Amino acid sequence: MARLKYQTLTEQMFYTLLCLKEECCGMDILDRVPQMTGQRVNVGSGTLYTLLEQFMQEEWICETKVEGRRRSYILTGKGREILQRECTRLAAQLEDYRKVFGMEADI
Amino acid sequence: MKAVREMKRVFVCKSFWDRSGIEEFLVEQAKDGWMLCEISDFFWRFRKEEPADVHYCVTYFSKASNFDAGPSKKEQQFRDLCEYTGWKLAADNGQMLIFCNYEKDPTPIETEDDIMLLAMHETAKRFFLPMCLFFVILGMIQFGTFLFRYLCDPWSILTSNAGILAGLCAIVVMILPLVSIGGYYHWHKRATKMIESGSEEWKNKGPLDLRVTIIVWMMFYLAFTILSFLGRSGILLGILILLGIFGTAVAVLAFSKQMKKRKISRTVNRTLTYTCSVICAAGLSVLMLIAMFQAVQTSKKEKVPVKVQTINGWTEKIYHDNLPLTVEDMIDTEYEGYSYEIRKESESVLCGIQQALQKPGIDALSEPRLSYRIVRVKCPMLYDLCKKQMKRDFAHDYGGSSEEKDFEKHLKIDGIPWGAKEAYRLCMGDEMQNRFLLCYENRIVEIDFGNGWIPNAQQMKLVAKRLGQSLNR
Repeated sequence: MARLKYQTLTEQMFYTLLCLKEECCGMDILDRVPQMTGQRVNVGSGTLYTLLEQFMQEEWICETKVEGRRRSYILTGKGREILQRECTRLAAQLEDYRKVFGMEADI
Repeated sequence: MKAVREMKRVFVCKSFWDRSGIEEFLVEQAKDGWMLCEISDFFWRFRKEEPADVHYCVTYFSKASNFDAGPSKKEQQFRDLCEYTGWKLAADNGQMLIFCNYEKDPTPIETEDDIMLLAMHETAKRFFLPMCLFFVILGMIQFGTFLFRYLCDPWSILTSNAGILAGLCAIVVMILPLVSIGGYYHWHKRATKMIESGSEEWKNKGPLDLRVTIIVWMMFYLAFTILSFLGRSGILLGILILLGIFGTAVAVLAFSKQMKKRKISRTVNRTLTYTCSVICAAGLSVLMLIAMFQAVQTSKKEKVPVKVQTINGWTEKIYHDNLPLTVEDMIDTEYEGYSYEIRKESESVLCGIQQALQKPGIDALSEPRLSYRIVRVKCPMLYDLCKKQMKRDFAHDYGGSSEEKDFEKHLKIDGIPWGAKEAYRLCMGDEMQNRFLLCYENRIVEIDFGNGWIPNAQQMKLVAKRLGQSLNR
């Protein structure tokens, strides 16, 4: 996973981690991401499965409970740190943009 | 009234990695009312339904196996997530899962290309690449056997189409999977670059399918078997064994499928299937070798002598084969008890060999004798190789001390009287022998006059005329 190595997140990674601030299962994430983004971002089920596996491996999230075939996860301290770092990076990007375009850049 | 077919079986020759190709094919089938319900390596089954616009998605689950009785917990979790978004499993074949979706504009299963590529790479690492390595090793073993045979008896390879094919097969079996591995990493590198640049083209063409290697190997094997038995009485047995090999492969696959149906665990299924495969393959290989040996023996036995005589307790066979050059052609003799025998005659697309012997009976050993070997080189590139080999055969390397090594050697002599480009004479120690090696345009002749007589200029010309042109051009 190239991006994990470079510690930058794609939108889908970002929102998946964001959803996991609270304990939730894969299906909840599939629903929450489009809700959160006004249908702008959709995570595919296969992509989500691989992301969850990778996040678990990197210890960014951990499994909290298994109910039948439903598994729930939550963000770990390390995951929160990654998310925080990404937010700082995005904020810096936005700030740089504003510096260049000034007030007209206000969205 | 014509009955409406409810099911159909289609031979699908799509690469395991050709996602777009498979998806497009299935969408077209669905438009005609044929919905995928089962896939195997080559035949896919379709069920007749109302024609519909169905979306298909080919995806890979690296941890799945063809030996699994059912989906593992992780695979089930993956399937559940897909089902939640409207993607129903249409069929699966080990690590490849095919989902279908009847919704108008569904969210794809894979929404991020690098994640998709990662899943494909994981899948390749678990099955495709190890299998390629297995075929490389198989090819290396075959090539090693071929090389050993070549070093022991090069003429049995060079003058036999089956021998050449066996060598080619070994090389192809070794190279094709290597190409597959190289091709895969090349494709992976290109796909990574395309994804980084935002291109979607990487989905259109996958790496070389492993089935190509298997099919090529099987075709070579089939051709090799037919060529090995061709013209010999054991051909029927050869075909039966070949059918046995394919039958066994089908039976082993069916056995594995049955175990899967009976919910036997992956480990037990895999162990039993592999054990059965190895035992059957070894058994059939032994049978094949026995059949080939018998076919060769039978073809040898087919040669019937014109007379069998016993003199002083020694039995000898007299043959009257048609030799291109005889003692009588060269000198006057009144002796009539000669045996004329073509001892070896074989020909491939590259080379031909003929070995002849004219010998007197045991009761007339003082009569002149004649033996020769003619190698016809059809491929000019092989001329030097054949010449070197003939020289090697001509002057045996005794090994041991340097004195012993030099005991038998070939001395270069004038080739003009022989009508040859080059000529050599065998020398044992200080004694010249009546044995010559003659190099013609596309033939190399080794002739031994025994101790009967030393050939004169006229006889040398006759050798050039008869043996230099004796084999069919």
